[in-house]
Amino acid sequence: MKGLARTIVTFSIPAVLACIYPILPEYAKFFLARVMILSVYAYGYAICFQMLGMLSLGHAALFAAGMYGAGLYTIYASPSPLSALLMGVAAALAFSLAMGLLSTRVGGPFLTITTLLAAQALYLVALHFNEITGGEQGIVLGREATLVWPLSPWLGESDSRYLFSLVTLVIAVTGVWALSRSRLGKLFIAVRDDEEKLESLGYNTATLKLLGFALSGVYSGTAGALQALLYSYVGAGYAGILNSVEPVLWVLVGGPLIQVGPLLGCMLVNIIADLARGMLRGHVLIVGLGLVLIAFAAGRLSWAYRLLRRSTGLVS
Amino acid sequence: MNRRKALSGLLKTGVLVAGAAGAGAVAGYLTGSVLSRPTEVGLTGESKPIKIGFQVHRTGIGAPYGFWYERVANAAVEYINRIGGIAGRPVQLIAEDDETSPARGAQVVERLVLVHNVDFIIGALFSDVVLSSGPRAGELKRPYFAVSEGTHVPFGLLNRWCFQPGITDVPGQVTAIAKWIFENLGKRVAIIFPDYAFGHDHRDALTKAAERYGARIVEQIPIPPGETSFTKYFPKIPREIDVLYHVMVGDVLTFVRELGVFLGRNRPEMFGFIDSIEAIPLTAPGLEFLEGTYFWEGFPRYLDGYDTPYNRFYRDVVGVDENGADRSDPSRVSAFSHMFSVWETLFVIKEVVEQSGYSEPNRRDYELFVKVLESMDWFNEGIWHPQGDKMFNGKLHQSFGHQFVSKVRNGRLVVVKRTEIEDSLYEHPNDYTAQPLY
Amino acid sequence: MIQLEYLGLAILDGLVNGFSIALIASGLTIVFGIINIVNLAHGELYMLGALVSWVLVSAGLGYGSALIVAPLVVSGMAVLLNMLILQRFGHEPGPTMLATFGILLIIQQAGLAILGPAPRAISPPFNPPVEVGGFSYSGFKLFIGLASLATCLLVSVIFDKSRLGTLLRAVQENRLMVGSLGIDAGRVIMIGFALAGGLAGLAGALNSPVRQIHFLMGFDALVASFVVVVLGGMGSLRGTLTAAVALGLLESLTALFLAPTASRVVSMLIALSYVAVRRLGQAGGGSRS
Repeated sequence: MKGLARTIVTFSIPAVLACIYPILPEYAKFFLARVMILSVYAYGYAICFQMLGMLSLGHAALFAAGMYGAGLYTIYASPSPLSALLMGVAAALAFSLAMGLLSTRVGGPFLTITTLLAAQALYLVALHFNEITGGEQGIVLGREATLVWPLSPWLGESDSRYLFSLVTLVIAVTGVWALSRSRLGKLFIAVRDDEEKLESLGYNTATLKLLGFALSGVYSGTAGALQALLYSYVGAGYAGILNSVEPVLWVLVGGPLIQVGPLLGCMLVNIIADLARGMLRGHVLIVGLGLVLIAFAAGRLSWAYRLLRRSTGLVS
Repeated sequence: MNRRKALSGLLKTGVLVAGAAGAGAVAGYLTGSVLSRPTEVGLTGESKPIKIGFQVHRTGIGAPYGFWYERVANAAVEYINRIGGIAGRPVQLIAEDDETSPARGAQVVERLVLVHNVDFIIGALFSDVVLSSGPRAGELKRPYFAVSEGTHVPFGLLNRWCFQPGITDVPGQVTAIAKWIFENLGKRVAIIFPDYAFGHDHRDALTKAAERYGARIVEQIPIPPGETSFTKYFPKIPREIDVLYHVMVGDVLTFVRELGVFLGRNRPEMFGFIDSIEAIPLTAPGLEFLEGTYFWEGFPRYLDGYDTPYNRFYRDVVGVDENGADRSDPSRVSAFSHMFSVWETLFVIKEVVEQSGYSEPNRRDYELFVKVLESMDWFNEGIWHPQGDKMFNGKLHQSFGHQFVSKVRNGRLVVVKRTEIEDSLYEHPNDYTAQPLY
Repeated sequence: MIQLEYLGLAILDGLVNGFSIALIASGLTIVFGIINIVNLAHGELYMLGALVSWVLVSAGLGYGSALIVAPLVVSGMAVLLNMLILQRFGHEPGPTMLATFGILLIIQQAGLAILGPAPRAISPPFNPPVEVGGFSYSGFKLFIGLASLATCLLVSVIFDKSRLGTLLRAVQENRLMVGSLGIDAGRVIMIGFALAGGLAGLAGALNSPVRQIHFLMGFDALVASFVVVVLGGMGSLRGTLTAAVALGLLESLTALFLAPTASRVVSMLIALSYVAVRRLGQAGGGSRS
């Protein structure tokens, strides 16, 4: 019973996104497609932050590693988007292993600072090798490097993008859902809640943390690679610190349920920003006020999380 | 005890009052911005308006430019509507903030096309925003007019839907004035530039020009973006140079102040790009050091630098005085060397729409529009092009024009040279017309 | 490309930058110490200090008034933020981070509305070029460095020696225990915010005549201070000061020998290796924080 409820809640938002697809206006399709890719990034961040309790401020580097891996491969090796996607994910995996090897070992606030510094270093390296990376200005990828290029003649730009992003999102959600049910996921949470106890039971927590960080990197890098391959642009701006802070906000806004929270938070923040942009001049101010209000609501809403958790057994 | 209570009561009241005042200020600001919102300027005539989308840097690092770009756009649209609109139809300007961010910029393009169904888009100034937006505009099949000086349009980094007729690009500007620098200031040059594409464009163009005129770039000093303290990089400036070429954007006031202290009175000749001090008065504390140095200007800040009836008219309509500052607030200096690009771009759109008979955002009309625009080769000086006449290269989608060299004298800029269009021409193999439009 | 003759300048400039970052960061350290959360809006408080100075100087009130008024105003602002917002959810980590980021955006946009989009400047009240070893250095920057250093030392003495310091440290170590001793932890936290705001305001006022006063100036300051706060060992004022000076010197010295952007990368990598050596060198790999 609990298992069923959990599954239903987990897949409810993607199901809604699939159901409303036929009635969506054109812009909403583009907008939601964009947000769905960002949600994959949010899930990646949540694996690190919510499951393992590691507050990273350097995930932009993992996102950017995926983006540069895919983008640079496209430009300098082959315009085949599928192999570029794999290259992007591989680059993010490699970078997250390197970064995780240091960061997860130093732990706590030092994890936060080492991830931040490593990300800033990657950002500056991208600037320094401007001739190759395009630096701050970035590089445009050719039309044939776009992932949905083969689909668009049949489906059109918006539909192909929306469906592609939706499928990606469902895969990502399924992954997180499976992870939270699995033994590995439970071990991750045990690392977060009581590392010493787990160690005394004979588990190698260092390896678990590194594994979690790398998994988080794969998610983030996939999002980065897809961003490049769907929107034909690679630039150092995505490695900047603001892109590290955004997923923290999404995850915090989304609340403690790891299966739905990241998606919910990412959607909510982006929808608020987009609506405000259309309505007002000072839309950044509205986003600021919105975050403060959500912070208040988050305090009040903790009972709701507890209730949901009890009734569905969702991991928080 | 009582006193403490009274004190804390007082404190609480104070906090409440201050809080209320703060909330009031925020609310006031919001209401003010809603009411004064000039996002949709236009006529409500009987015929269907031509919608022009405008991606504007209202917030973020580009805000000083964005403020003036938006003001020029509003003024130009108002003027166009006063003289009968475009092809007899009123013009509606739809402006949205891109936060000077490439991610948001691409999103704004989608909003402008899909929410507002604009006919044309006037794009951004910052290169990263242009570069992430261009592909979206190309995919959504909407003409995108950059107003950026970047090389992305002429060098073929974008696509057939992207144009830059309203402003000259960095290689054109540098090619035109480099000869003047080497002949008048000296041939041994050190260049300080921001370590991203805009700075690299300057470095590359200057290096190329130096080769042609037998000058030498002795040292290149790229400054990382976001840097707020510069003294540590100044030891790299060699002593035996004739000219220090600087094109800094960012924390420019700090840069000039620290440079002033470092070089003192034994400075070499200095040549800068006005981009660093756009929207900043030359009388700002610390800028005295720039006295006697030279600047490139796109369009002279002071009216007497290029006093034409068109320039006077343009300043009148935009609300800028003869010192390049806001009529209603002389301390607010405009981005005069760049913002004309928005004005001229709007008139290019007007001219091409009227010549091509464009009426609807559909394939047939855009094919006509692009064909006519690409066949343009000259824009005459006039009210529509107050900065001067321009040569347009339909293959590069780029304009070439006159440039100005000015000297800082008594805290103002005095034009010492206006270059010819031919001085700024360069060769590039790019040819957008070879790309399919659809 | 080694210009050793400039070694003196590099050291001096590194020290001055280090001291002024230390002053900005000290407020962040104090708040971090007592509520264990990074106040993301701290950089904006620094910006407010500079903004208030600009308003006062433009109104003809003189720079001296800015040095007194800006810290008070910003201190009041910090207290207000804590009272109206952060205190309401008991400084819970999640909501606090969200709220402080929201406040960051709000103050930044308020700064844009007041200052306008273009940078503003005020003149230093005095600025004799100081000749040291064949190069000249800004006298006012020297003053900023010394004033920042003095303030940092003063605050750390207060922390170590006074009753207030004892209370702040007690809250830092164990908030519950402090409550059971009959001390109002909420009030102590409030004082901590007031102090942190005052220091940020003072830093803003001190730096306003040599930096450009701009609505975005807070964010870079936040990142720089965050780095030194953590490198300095979280919540330790002395550590923050040491880390700031070390980082300032490191950046200055690497810039002498390397291309600017590369020198920034190298100084970051050195900071990373420092953390690695220090933390991983400890017994048991130091996985505990």
